[in-house]
Amino acid sequence: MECADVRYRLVRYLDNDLPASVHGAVEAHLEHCYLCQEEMNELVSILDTCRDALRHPDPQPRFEALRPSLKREHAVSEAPGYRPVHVFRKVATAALAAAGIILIASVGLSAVQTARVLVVLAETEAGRDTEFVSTQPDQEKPNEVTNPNPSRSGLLLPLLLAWQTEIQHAEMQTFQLGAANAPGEAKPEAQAAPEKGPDAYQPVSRGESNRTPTKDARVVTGHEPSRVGSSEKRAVMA
Amino acid sequence: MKTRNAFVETADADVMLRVKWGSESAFAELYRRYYRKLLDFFYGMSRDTQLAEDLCHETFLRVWQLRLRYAVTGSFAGYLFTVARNIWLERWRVVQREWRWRAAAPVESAAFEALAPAPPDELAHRAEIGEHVFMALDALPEEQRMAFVLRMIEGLSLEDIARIMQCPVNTVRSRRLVAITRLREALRGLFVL
Repeated sequence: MECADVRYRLVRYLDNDLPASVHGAVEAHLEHCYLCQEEMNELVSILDTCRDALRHPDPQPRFEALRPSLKREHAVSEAPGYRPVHVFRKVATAALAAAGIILIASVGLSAVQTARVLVVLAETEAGRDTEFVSTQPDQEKPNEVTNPNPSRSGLLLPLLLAWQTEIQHAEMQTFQLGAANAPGEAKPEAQAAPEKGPDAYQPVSRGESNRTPTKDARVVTGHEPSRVGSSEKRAVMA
Repeated sequence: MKTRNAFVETADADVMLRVKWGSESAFAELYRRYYRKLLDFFYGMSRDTQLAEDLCHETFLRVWQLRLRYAVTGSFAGYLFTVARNIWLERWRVVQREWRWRAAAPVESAAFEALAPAPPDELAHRAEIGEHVFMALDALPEEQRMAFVLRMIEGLSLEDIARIMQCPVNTVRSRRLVAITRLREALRGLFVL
């Protein structure tokens, strides 16, 4: 072991804080190295001096002076109103309180939101009637419902109306697409279906009779097609 | 050696359990055992004899107040010095302010020292060395100083000091090593061998 290594470990050597093998190696080095011995002696004298300097010069135990304070000072757990609370219990109580607050807030908010949606829907219905009636300016408007609080639904009402218009537009597109996709003669038949009445759907030919009516056709006719039984098939074949 | 220390720690814990049940005589026994060590700790940190005694009594009073919360989780010395460290940290700002005030009033200090009777040579030499030691200690950061002072107290292991200072054992080792290196540099002129 080199001198630098030994000097680096001198403090821990004096504290008996080194592993046994290292302690033995330092000890063996110190036996034959005069300079390291000097270094260690200097360190020991400095530590002794510091220990002496740090000792209180006039220690006089005064327990008797402390005794009246002991009788006056109650233990913390004996103080009135004190109840020892475990840390985990504190954390659990805080977590439960927070969960309760969040639950109450969420329930309250959802109730408020439901009430608002109901109010807006009612206003929307009232607005549709109003719009219908307003196309006839000469007549009176008995169905018109005035909004008691227009500022509440001022933002949501246009959105709902636009949403309703989009739905109607989508329904119209579906209607047109269904009419366009119907094969061959089904298209004029489908267009004529409302005129013929609810029981107008009938399979025309054999090739088309085996085909299950599509959803579009159902949309066009507005009625569920009657199921084609085997007797009807035989009649068609004849 | 280890067996004796373990016995001492066990005995301390037993005595503290008796204190927990309200025994003043057991508390007097603990006071007798640890008064000197606590006093040295506070004196090493504050360099003030009266303040060290006050803080020592305050520490014992707090141990008495908190006796019902005591649980045997480590050495009693570690528990006691943890309380002492907390009290010291509470008073640290006040002490710092006082030190600044002392540094700002050198004339009064010099006049007081001139009026004081001159000690004999041996005492003068010791006082001079002590003054150098405290000057070197004052230059250390707070944590290094505390690690050094606590290790000077008999019976406190590095693990105890780590628990008191709430840091790893290796941190205590490095702080102490740096403190000793600086003290050696500061005090090297006093020790001509």
